[in-house]
Amino acid sequence: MPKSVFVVGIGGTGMRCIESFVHLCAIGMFDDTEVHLLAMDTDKDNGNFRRLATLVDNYKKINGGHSKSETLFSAKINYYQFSPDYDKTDNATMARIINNNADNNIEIANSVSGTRVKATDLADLLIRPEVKEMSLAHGYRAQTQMGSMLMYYAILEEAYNTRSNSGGLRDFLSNLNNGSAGKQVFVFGSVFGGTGASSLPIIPPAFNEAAKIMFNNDSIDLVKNNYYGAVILTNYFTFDIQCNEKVYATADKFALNSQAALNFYNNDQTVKDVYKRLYVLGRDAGSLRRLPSGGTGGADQCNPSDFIELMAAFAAHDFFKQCDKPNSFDNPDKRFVCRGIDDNISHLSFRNFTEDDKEFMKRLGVMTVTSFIDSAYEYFENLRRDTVHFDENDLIPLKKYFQMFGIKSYTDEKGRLVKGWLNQIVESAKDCGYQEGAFFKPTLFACSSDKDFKKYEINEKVFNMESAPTFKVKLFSNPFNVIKDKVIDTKPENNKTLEQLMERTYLALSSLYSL
Amino acid sequence: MSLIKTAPELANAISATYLIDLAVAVVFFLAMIVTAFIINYDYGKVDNSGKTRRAYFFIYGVLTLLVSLALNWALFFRNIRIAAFSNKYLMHLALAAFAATAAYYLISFITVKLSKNRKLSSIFPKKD
Repeated sequence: MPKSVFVVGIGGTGMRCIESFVHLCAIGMFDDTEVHLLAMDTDKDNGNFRRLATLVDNYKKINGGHSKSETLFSAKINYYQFSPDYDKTDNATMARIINNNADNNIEIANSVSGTRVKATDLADLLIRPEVKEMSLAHGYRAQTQMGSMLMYYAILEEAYNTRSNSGGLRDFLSNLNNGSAGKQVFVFGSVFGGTGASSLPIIPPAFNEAAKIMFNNDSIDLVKNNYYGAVILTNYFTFDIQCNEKVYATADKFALNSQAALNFYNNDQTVKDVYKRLYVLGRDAGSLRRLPSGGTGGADQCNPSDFIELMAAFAAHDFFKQCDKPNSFDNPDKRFVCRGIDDNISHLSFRNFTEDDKEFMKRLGVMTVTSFIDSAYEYFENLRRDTVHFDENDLIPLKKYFQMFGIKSYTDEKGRLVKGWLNQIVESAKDCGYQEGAFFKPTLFACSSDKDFKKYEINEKVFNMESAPTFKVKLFSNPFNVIKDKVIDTKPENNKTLEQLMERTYLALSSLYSL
Repeated sequence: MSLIKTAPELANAISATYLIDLAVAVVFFLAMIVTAFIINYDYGKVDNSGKTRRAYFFIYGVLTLLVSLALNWALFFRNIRIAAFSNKYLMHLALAAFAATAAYYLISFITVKLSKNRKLSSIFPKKD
C-alpha cells in the first residue's frame, strides 16, 4: 500500500514550489507514494499555473498511474486545480461580489453590543474603494485583508456548487476525507504577495467547512484529524513593475508584508494549533534576486524557478518524514530551529537542501545524466529501436518533460528560447552570488550545440565536488557505449515498456557512478 | 625455406599447409570477436553498429582465404620446382584455404548465434 500525501500550492510562488515538488517526484525522492496535488490560484491564465499543468500532464503520462520505487518518476501524482476564475464569472471585483449577494445588505445584530450592521458596511470599513473596484482577474495583488475573505468565500461557494458534481477541489477533499485519519497535508505559499498570503491561514478551516458542505456531514473534522504543515516564503525576489492600474503588488512592500505576516503567524492561535510545522524561508534584503519587470499577472507572469522553491519542496519532504516518525509532534513546546547557508561558498551543494543529501545527489544525478544523454545521444529512441521495444509515441511526454527539466534550452510556442527548471535553479544560485551555481559543474550547462553535447565527458564532469563520482571509459570507447552496455546487461528480461527502460537506466547509472 | 624435392618433403609441406590455415582461421576468428567488442554502439536515433560488425565478419572471412593462400604460396609453393609436385600442392593449397575459410565462417556463425552478448549477437540479430 503506497503512502498517501496531500500537497497544496497557492498563488504564483505556490505554483513554482509545486513545480519543484513535481521534479522531486520525477527524480524519485518520493518512492512508493501517491501524491495528491492541489494547485490553487485566482489567476488561471497565470504563466506559472499553465506551466505547472503542462509539467504534471507529461509526468502523469510517463508515470503510467502507479507508484513504484528505485526508479525515476516513481510517485503517482493525482493533480487537481481550483481557481475562482474571477475574469470568467460575474465576480470580477470585490464590489460586484458584495452586490451580487442580497444577504450582504441585511442588517445583522451584534449579540454583545446590540449594534446593527450590514456586511457591506463592514467591507467598506476594511477595504479601500479602489481595492473594492480593482479587477480580480490577476489575483489579490497583495491586498490580503480582502484576499483572505474572498478565498474563504470562493472555497465555500465551490463547495455549494459541487455538492452533486465533480470538481478539482471536491475530488481533492474527497480523498482527504476518505479512509483513516492522520493524513499528511502540506501547504506552499508566499506571505509577501497576494493569493498565497491571503490563503495560507484560512486553508485548513476553509477545507473543513467545504468538506462539511460538499459531503453533507457536520461531523467531518479535517483539521484535528490530519497533520498540517506549511512553508511560508518571505520576500526573496524583487522587480520593477510597469503598470497603469491603481492597485498592484510592488516589490518594495514585500519586506513590510513579510514582517506583518510573520508577526501574525507568530501570534495567531489558530495557525499555531493547526500547523504542526511551519517552515519559513527567505533572503535578507541585500541578496534579493532581481527579476525582469512584469505586469500584474496573466500569461506574462511566468517567473523563473528559484532554488529557494526547491528548498520549500524539501520542507515538504522533511515534513512527510517527520509525520512518519512516531510521536514527532507530541511535544507541546514550540521550538524554533534556524538554519542558513555558509558565506563564502562557490556553489550550493546537495547538503544545503536536505539531510538526505546522499539520496538527493544520487537521484538528481541520475535524472540529470539521463536527461543529458537523451539530449546528446537520442538515448531513449536509440534503445527503443534495439533494446526495449515500446511505442514511439510513449516518448513524446518524456521528451517534453526533459525539455522542462532543463539541460538543453528549447524554443517555446512564442518562439522564445527558454531554459528549463534545473538550469533556472542554477541561474538563481548564480544571481545570488554563488558563482559556480549549484550541484553540478558549470560546464554541464554550457553545452549549447549538438557537437558540444556529444563531445562532453559526461562520465567525469558531472558533480561539482572533491572526489566526485565518475566512471571510467576505456581506450577507443565513449560514455554512451559504456552506458548502453551497462543498461543492456541490467535486468535484460525487462524489455517491453518505457517504464522498464527507465528503471534499467536508473539502476545502470547508479551502478556506473557508484551512487 | 629450402627447396622441396622429395615426396616426404612434399607430404610434410601439405600437412603444414593445413595446420597453418587452421591457425589463420583461428586468428581471424579471434580478431572478429575483438573487433566486435571494440566497435562502439552508434548514438543517434538508429544504432548501425551491428551492420559494421557484420561487415567485419565477412571481411575477416575473405582475409582468412587470402592470407591462407598467400602465406602458403610464400612458404611452400615458391620452393617447389618439380611440376608434378606443384600441381599436387596447388590442389591442397586451395583445399586448405577454402577449408579454413569455411571453418572460420562456421565457427564464427555458431558463436555469434549462441552468444548472449549484445555486440556479438548484433552481427546477425534476431528478427522481431
